[in-house]
Amino acid sequence: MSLTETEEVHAGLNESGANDLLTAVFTARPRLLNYRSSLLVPGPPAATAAWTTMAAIPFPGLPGGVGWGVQFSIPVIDFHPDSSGGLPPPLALGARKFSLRTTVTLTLLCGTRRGQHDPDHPSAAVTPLRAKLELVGIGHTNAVYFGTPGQGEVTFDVDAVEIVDIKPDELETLLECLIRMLLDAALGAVRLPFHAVSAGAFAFALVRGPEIEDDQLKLYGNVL
Amino acid sequence: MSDVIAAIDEGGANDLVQDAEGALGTLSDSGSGSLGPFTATWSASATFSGGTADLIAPNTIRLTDVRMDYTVSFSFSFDLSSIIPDFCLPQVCVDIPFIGRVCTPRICINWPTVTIPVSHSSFVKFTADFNPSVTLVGGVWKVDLVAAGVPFLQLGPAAAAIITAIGAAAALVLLPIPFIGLVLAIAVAAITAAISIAGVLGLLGPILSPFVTGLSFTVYEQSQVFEVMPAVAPDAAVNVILTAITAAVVSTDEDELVLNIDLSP
Repeated sequence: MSLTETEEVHAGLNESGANDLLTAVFTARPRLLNYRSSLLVPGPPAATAAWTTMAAIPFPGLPGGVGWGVQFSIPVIDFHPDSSGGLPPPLALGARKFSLRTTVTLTLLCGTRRGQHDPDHPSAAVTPLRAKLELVGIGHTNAVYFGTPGQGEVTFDVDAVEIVDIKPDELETLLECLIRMLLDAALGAVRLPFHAVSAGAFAFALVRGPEIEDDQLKLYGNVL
Repeated sequence: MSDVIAAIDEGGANDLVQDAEGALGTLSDSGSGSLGPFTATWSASATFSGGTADLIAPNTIRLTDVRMDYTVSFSFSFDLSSIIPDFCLPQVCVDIPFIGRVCTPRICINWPTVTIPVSHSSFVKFTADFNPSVTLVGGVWKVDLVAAGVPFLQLGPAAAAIITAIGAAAALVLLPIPFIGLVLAIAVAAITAAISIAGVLGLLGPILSPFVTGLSFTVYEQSQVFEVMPAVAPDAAVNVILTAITAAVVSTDEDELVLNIDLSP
């Protein structure tokens, strides 16, 4: 079977190449992986520019709200079929899907609201508490188009994540949902131009894809 | 397996070659060479278009009926006396009554050196096999299709046209020369005969053949530092390194030109 099949151009990005691209993206733009509410959430990374700073979670009676941090490690992707050594149940890597492995570090700035009114806690110091979780996810890819027909980007959507061995199950489900939303949003910032998938070879207008199979992300198109 | 596999079929390769021909632009050269018994200085330019790609595994891209449009301008100088013998009008004397003997001066015609400029534009089609060549020079990866051997150029019709053009140009140059009128046709015929078709081919071949010898069309060109995503404030550009590239023609149920590319972040 030919690579181009019924189209003129084929671009196949192997999972190792996809991971090289993701590593390049997140190394150049670490703020896409590191989020916090203030400088009180310590690094690494040390550089302020390596973080996306957002508001603390407001809560009545807590001046300044709840300080927080969320950090992901660079995800490692595996395109269908599974070559990662297996996924934790109930995840299964179906056709046209990818799996990913990453870690998430959740930080909570633990403090007190009493501050100077409490002789036992004369200052409002906060203590960062951290939990680092390994997680596995599955997802799929999409094509989004610019104004020009056939020109656009490949995006990654996370459909589900699994964190093993958190009890009770309700807490695991809650955390999985929270982290899936956050990871999906973080990974959604990665938009690979079609031409990047072919490393710039054979300028083409996308006709079909992205398709995930044979450990590759595949695009099919016609020469521009 | 390579990080990136990019493939293009024969239909796409046709478009790719057309684009590469356009990107090659106009080639030009100049020099001097033999034009029959004369020495001509010349300048020439050529552009390429068309052709049909046939991908042949493992390493051949055959381009059929590539059209080379060219313009050749040349000029050659020679002593006209080498073509037409010099001659003298003898002194003529007559006796005129009451005046005496009157003689005309002896007039000798010494033909000048003339320069004949000729310009000829035409096209020639050729078929040639090309091989993919991958290079990394100065931090830039290129995949070129490089002509193998010396493609044959059928220049006979062009040579005949150029002989006609030489005759017309010679007539224009010679016409103003005093006393040429009687022998103009003879002179033009002598010039074109001296050069001959073989003489034109002897000049035209060495001018045009270098344009197709080693002819190269670039079908892939990227900096080794490949920009995946451009810089958008506040984010820096995202780059990867293209560490290795190979190119080959692969035949399955279809013939395709395939690039295998490896990356590193």
